[in-house]
Amino acid sequence: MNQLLEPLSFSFFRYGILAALLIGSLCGLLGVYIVLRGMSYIGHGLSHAIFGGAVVSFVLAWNFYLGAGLWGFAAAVLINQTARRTKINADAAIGVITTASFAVGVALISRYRNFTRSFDAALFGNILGVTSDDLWAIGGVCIMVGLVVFFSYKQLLFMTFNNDVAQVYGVRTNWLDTLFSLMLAATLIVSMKILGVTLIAAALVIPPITARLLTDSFHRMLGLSTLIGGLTGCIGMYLSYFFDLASGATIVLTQTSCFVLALGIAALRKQLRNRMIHTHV
Amino acid sequence: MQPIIELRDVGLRYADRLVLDQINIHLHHGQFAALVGPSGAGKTSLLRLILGLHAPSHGQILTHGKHPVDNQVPTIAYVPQLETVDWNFPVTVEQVVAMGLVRQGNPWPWLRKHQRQAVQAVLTQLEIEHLAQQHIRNLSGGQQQRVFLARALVAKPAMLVLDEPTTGIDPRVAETILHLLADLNQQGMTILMTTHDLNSAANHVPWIICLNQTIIAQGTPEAVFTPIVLEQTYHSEMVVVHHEGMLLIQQRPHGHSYRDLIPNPVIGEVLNPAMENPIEPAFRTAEL
Repeated sequence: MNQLLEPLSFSFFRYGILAALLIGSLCGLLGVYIVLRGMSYIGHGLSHAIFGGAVVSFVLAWNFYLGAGLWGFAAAVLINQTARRTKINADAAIGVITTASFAVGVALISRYRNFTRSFDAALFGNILGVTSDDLWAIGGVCIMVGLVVFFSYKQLLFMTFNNDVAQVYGVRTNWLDTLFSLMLAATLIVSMKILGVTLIAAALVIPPITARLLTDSFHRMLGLSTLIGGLTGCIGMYLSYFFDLASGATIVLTQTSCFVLALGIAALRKQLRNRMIHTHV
Repeated sequence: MQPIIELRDVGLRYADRLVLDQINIHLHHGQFAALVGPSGAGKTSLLRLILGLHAPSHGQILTHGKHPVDNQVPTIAYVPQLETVDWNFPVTVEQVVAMGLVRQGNPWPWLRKHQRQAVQAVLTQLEIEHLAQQHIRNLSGGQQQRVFLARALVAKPAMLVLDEPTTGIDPRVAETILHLLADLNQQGMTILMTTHDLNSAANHVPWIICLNQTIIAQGTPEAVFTPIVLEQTYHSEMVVVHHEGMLLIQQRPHGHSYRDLIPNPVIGEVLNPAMENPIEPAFRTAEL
């Protein structure tokens, strides 16, 4: 027990584990909608787009959250509108807009070679460098996303299940889509410093698909995915501390192990069900 | 009396392509109509116009004599084609039906008591109350159609719009669904459905609208399902037979039977002696 409490005596670890818990839960919650809407690639794409915004903010000496936030939101809206108004599918729109944005970031870095450390942190995350400001930002986004999901639960569920039909039944899908883009951009921005561009997509996708393997109920999937995201965040932090591994990568590997375990449980349950059917027959 | 839905000279263009032209339809309270036409005739586009998912390129669409935006409460409930539904989506029957209540001013994620009762009542009405906690993937075709019908009915609409409700389900279940729609119509529900099944439409739906980019004809099945109208609609020769009070419609094959197309067919093997003559005389088309 003392061994488990020992890392908590360091403030960097306390901040880090709190950030991992909140980010893991946040990504787990929002990831359910992303996975069920078939947009798994958007987390990966948008995080790359936001990277461009982060570099631009750095070069122009803007506030990171403001600059990257506006950039990410604009990219998300642009992807939505390109997919809706042109013949281009969402996956291709994501590919074009986000890689172009990422390329802007890389081009600026090659021009101004004075922030290599920030570049590494943005790409691979730096959970041990979490400040109290970061925690406030993460907490704020968690509250915003939590409130929107709570009060728009029915509308989001209907829109995720069938967008067009939801519109017929009076759900303002355009408005909700924009709100969703805003939440996603905010989530990615606060997660980027912690997990890094390259690992965010995994945190958005793995907890929901793990939860999907374990339940057929939407609200249980939401709860389980949030729980898995938060727990694996904490466990991953401890493992990274004890085994001296990169924390972002350890969190994602913990989530992956959880997914493999869920795959096993699902297969076992299917086998047991089939055996019971055969026994009854 | 003011029609529930009124389309006045409505047209729709996608880029340079004219999809619908000069559409004039009035649907009154209590009407039960089927929209028929070949694939690509514009049936789904017309439904989307009526549902407010598209704006017409020209003409007017009025609900209760007003533009749809003026009406605060949605008056139309929609039952989509079953094939557009993601059957792996993690929802139960009860959760799907409750979606129909999405606009009923309850900000909480859970249902209020009267809403739960409304869901229960409509499940009972459609005889699927025992399936309330089932995942939608575990249902038969007929049960799936009932679930989406229940979601539409729980919204207490003035009109039901169904996109091919009998596609993808076996003829017996399709018949049950059509009887269910007829019962709802008898209770005062206005219904518009699209279908490819001309025979079911001819014998179950009292008003037919033939569409192929424009309205070819509309009226009772006896008035509309004539070889001339059907040929204009489908650009194909159709045979219409009256038999025991039923209208039977069949596209005339290019030859007389498969023998004209496949002169030397490979004949299968009869494995069960009892099945040597599986065609009962009652089903022989020659008697028609």
